Amino acid sequence: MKELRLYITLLLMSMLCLLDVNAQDVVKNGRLLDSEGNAVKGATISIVGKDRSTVTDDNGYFNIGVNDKDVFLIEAGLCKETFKVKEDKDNYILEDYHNDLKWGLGNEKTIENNTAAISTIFSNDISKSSAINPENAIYGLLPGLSVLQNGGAPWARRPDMFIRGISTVNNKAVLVVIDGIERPLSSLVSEDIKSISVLKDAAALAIYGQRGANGAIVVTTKRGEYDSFSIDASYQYGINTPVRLPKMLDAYNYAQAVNEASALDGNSFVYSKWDLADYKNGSNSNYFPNVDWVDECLKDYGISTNFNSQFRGGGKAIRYYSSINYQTEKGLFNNTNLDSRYDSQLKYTRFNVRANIDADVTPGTVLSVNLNASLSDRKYPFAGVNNIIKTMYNTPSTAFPVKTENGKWGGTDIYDKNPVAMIAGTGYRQDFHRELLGDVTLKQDLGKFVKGLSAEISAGFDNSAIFWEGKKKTYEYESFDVTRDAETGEILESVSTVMGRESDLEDYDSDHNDLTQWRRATLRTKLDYSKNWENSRIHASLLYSQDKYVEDKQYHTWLRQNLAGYLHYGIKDKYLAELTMSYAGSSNLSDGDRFDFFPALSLGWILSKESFMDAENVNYLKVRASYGLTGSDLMTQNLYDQQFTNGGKYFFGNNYSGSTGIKPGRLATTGLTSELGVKSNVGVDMLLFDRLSIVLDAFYEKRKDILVDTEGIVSNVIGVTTAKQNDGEVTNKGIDADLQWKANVGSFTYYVGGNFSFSKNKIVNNNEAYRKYDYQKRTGQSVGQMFGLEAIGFFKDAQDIASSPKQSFSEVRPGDIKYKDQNGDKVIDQYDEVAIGNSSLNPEIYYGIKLGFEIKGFGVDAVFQGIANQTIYMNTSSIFVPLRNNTNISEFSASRWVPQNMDGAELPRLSMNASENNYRKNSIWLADGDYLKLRSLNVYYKLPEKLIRKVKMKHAKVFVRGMNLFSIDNIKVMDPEAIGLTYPTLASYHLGVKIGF
Amino acid sequence: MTRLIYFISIILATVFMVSCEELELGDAALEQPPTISVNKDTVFSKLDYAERFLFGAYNTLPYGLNTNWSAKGDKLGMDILEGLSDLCHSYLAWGGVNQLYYNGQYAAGTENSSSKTKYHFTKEGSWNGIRKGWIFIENASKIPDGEASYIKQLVAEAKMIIALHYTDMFRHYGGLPWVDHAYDPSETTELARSTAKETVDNIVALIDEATVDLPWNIEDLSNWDGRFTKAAAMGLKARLLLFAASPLFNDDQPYLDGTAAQEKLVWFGAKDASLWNEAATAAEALITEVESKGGYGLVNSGNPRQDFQDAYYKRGNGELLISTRVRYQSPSWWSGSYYFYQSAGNYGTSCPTQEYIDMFEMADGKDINDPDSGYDVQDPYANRDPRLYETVMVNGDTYQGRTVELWIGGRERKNTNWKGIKTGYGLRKFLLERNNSTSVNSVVQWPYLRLAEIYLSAAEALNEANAGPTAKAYEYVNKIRSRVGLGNLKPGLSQVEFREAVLEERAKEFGWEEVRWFDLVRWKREADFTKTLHGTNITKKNGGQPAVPANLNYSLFELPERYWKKNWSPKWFLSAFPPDEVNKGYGLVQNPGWE
Repeated sequence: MKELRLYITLLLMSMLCLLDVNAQDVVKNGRLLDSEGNAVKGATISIVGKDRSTVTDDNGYFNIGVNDKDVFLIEAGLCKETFKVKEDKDNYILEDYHNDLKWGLGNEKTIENNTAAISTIFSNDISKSSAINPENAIYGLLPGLSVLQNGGAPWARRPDMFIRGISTVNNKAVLVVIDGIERPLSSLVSEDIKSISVLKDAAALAIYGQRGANGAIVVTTKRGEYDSFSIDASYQYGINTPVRLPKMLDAYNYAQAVNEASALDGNSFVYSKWDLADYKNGSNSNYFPNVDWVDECLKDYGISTNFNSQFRGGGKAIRYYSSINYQTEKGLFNNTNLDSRYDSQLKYTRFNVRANIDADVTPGTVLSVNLNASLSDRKYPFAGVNNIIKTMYNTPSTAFPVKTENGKWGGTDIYDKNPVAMIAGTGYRQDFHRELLGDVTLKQDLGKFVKGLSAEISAGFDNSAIFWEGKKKTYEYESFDVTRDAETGEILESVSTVMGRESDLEDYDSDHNDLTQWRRATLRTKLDYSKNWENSRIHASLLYSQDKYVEDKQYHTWLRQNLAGYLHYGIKDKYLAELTMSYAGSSNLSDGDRFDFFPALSLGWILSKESFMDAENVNYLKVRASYGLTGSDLMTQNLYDQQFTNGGKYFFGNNYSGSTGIKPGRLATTGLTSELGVKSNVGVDMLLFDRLSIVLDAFYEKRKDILVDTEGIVSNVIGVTTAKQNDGEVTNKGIDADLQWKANVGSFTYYVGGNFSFSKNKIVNNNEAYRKYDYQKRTGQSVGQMFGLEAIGFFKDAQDIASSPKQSFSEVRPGDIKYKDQNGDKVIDQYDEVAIGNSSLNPEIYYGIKLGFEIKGFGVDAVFQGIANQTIYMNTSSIFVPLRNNTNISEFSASRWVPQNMDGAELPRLSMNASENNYRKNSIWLADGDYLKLRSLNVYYKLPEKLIRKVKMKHAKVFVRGMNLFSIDNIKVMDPEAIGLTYPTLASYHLGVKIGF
Repeated sequence: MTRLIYFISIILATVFMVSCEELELGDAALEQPPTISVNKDTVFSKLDYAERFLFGAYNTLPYGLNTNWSAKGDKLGMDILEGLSDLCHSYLAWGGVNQLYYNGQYAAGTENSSSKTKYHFTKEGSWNGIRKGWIFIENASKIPDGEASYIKQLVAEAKMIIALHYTDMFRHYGGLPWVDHAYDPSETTELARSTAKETVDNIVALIDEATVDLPWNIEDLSNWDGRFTKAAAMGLKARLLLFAASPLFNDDQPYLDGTAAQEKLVWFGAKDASLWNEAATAAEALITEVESKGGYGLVNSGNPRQDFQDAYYKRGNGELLISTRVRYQSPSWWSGSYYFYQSAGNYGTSCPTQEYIDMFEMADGKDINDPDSGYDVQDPYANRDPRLYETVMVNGDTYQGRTVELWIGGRERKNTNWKGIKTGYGLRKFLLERNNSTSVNSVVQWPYLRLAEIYLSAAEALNEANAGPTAKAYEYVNKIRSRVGLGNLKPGLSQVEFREAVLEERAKEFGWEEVRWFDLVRWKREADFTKTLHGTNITKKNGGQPAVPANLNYSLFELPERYWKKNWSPKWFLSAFPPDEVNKGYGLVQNPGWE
């Protein structure tokens, strides 16, 4: 180690001697770092107006003769920045520079010599979000990556992620690789992330073999740096409010609606005029209550906090990055401490510790250890979060009082769950999630034997377990049967019935069956070789990896092996070629067919380096193209074997326990193989005017060998679930684009950028069952295309019904939906269902816009994100579908058909019946899922350096931040991304401070 | 320092590696770790497993009451087959009886997706049961332990499972694709429908093979009652042959023309009177054996009401030839998994019609229309065939230790909207006293085939084969009547009168046992599908207290009209195949009227 340092110093000194150093100049020792404190190596440092320059060493150090009026021009890669020479400052931070991109099982590439379709963001973008889960911090930031939010409790708030849309009818999960190992992104805290890359084409993905087809997200965490030390600490306090809670009708309006529905059904009124009067006046509220359940169950806001500290640095031989993170989120439930023995408020706390250590064991040997330990607790009412929310919306305001005048919980035989009692009276449950991710890597420079050769071996072991305990109780509830005088409406009698049972608060421990756990063991080895000649550059890697993933269930062991090679060849830094190959096997495939070969070739040409391209404003221009294969082995396990399992008891004689049967499972798939994605991509990377960077990509993928059912084509008389076969085929094509503009006017710096992704897929074969009409075929449509009836209005009267084609789902009355007879057979039935709307699974268009400015330490950043061409099916009971099966009704139903307003109606008449006619899938209940959301808005102020230097701080920042502040969309009554009776999505406001020493 | 770090790191790495799973290299690493996975070879490596496989096949047998366990359990969308007949009317709004049949909405396409039709060609589990049967038959020789005769018996049981499924499907569809072994995925599965005749012959052949190897009866009833016996096999054959001999298939013209008729898939192509002989022979063969060998007999202890209940309800009663059992006991009244109580008792799948009530004679066997019968319109339920009380809940009967109150406002019928009693009558069969102390937690076997049916089948077949009732025919019917204390059938009936009498006897004896529908179908009884059905409202006369018959009024009212009444077509006799299945193109020809 010491030798190396000495060598470098000598080298630098000798270089210095060659420089022209003026007498009045002094030798400036500096160090160039990127925004995360990583050394920037190989950057050119020149002095404006002088013919003098130097290059930074491997640790970012440089020496150059300057006088204090000089200005440095620093160029690293495509990044150019100028700095004033300052005496008191040794470190120069190159904010926009990021080096050492790692992807593809650990290859190192730079943005310049890359020929694949990859997009990357860095910690400065990720840290603009306050999401607990990093998956929720990347909306709209990466071209080609759609991140679609979901509602739910804090720990369940995991978005759907698709890379370049959908290319399969099977498992669509993207591969997430963290520090070289497959791990869930949600297991990290945002502050520890250095970079997130999205790998999109075969050139980037082939190396993942049978795991690459759905695209990959490659994440690296922060690491330490030689000869440095810093401590960063931040604290945030946040207020979370639900995004658009739908408004349910109050008691009087609900009762009116029920009467309206009954009358339109041809039945008598349910509520008498006296009932209505009581609801309206609030009289006799014990029997005729008016309860706003949403208000009773949910508070206006919850609180979240986030404390984070990072210790980062290194000496001569050891580098370290270590962080401690503590986050809490308290939920929105109201009335959580009515029972003095406990508070059932939903509460999520997460404590996370990370240590990434690199040690130079000998010169040329680096040992790295990464450890991430996470302890999170989830506390919530024993009744369950989603059960409460569901009951809250489904219980009409007239159903029963929260508590009766006798002090018991309200309830009836129909509405047998009291949402407030579910919060306050059922006890609580706590889930404990323990997760440990760890890996060690030993890297050896073999330059002694062969110049440019190095080897690496690493092993990882991750494990995660959730166990739970709780205290549980049941509650008693009371209902009333009220008799009124038929003439006067006076309440003559009320009979109280008490149901349920008030139990003790009992311990409720999980048994082993409730334990969710997984573990993963990985081994990776790698040989790297690089050599530079005069004009060409070669980099080659040979990789072997194996992976064992076990879930705590039967048939949940996954074993994978991958032998991969990578060859990069560049001539004159202008003509680039890359060949990637992997030979990968998966235990999920049948013996003999486990391994597959996945090659990919990509080419790049940096036009801007050609002499014929001396356009002044084109700083960089590269065209690239790739073609290759990658696979997916994500499918049900053990399909290659027909399993016989216990199933079906039969009760011979008087044998109480019965005789257990054995039943044959699905037939075995013959020649089971992985899905094969044939991906092609063309792209162009540009940097114009030193400010505008443009990346454009167009792609086409043909996904073959998708495992699909054969039920649609095999005779049912075979008498068993037929085998799935690799017969499916889907094509997918589209574009991704990314534009960034960054500039400054004096001390005012600003940026604006955007990305846009479009993808459209088509099912080519799905072994689809015969369809009577072509318009009913799923084949030829997108994956997830909605099918249903096309509504053409509402029946006006009996005559209209009589003269229209017969609708065969249920008896129709005026005000019911009238459908288009697609096949002209005068009957409306399932054969009139056509493709309506778009796919419900993913949007065709996904885009993000980010912009911001900074002046004198004061700055604003905003990220917008939107989608288009996705359809929402509004079938949520109570909120969209009113009154069905004794559910509730919201203000959404205001535009319903009523005899007085037939023409202005947008929704069918109310009904107390199941009304198969109105509520089957049809165009009335579809809505455009388009939205544009403000995902985050940051306003910050960086305290002046002069001020903070006095207290030995390196930097200090205060900020206010808003997340999900608004959404422009068509749904209006609720968040278009969280349709359903789930815990609401949140908008949040944070106040934070961040300091560094 | 350096050395120390080196040392520590090596230890760290070693500990780490060891603490990880064993990391193997090479292809072996991809072999799944041993699990408790079981394949076909394992199953037939031991008698114990093989038996369990056969029991799993038993589990596919049909079950008539609504359960919520499978497609067969919630056929008709939780309604019951009897609702399609004239015996009762269903008020279950979401059931298939109301949503598909009463309103005529049923179409071939319904079979593709709906779970509310009367028989699911693809979902019922019959093809699955047939496959399991064949797998057993083909692999039984591999079973290393177990006596040869016992293995033979097991194979015969497997054949009965196949035969029973085919018999049921035959009654719903006519000729069927004949699966004669467990198909391998690599084989072609393009199996066209066999003709109706071939289908019957194939089933009969299978039953005959089984008959040889089955024990006459089950010795150890407390452990093994419910397994197939020789008597069960002979009984199933008699049921099948009676159905086959009936005019639906055995006539000089098909019930409806169409490709399936032309290809003789839904009839035999000509009328063959000898089929009645075969049916009679099959039924009488069993009766002869029963009478000579014993082990079986009608439940007849001299207590008619209880005997009748025991005949369908009690396990191991000697009268049940085939009983299917998917559960030992019925769970609580509101159990979603045992839906029958809710659908029949509370949602009104099973409201008996006045027409059904009127079939029941007086206790002495006189028809209620007989002027000498003593039938009192002011007290219509007094002194009737005891089977009426055990099948239908009628006003004034004893019930839950008190008296049934079925007048409007009475305890059982608070208002006319009370769905379980909407025709004015409730179901008693299977529901018994409708309370936890009697029905709940009691035995719920499905009485698939009773010996009583064989007697009536023999009587019917003899009447047809001999152009009029023979003495034996009378004897058989009277045997059934005498168990419940009714007198003998009036002598000297014509062939038609005797036929009608037997069909009514079957309706009364086997109400809610899925016999009536097939009787109406096989005799092509359009009139029973199109007749007007009635209910009765019982009201108290003004101020009439107490509610004794003298103070009650009985008024008939018409039940909601079924689509069939005005739009009858013979196509309804058989079910449609799901078009999705027809369109796979393996030779499934759609039944007439459903093309």
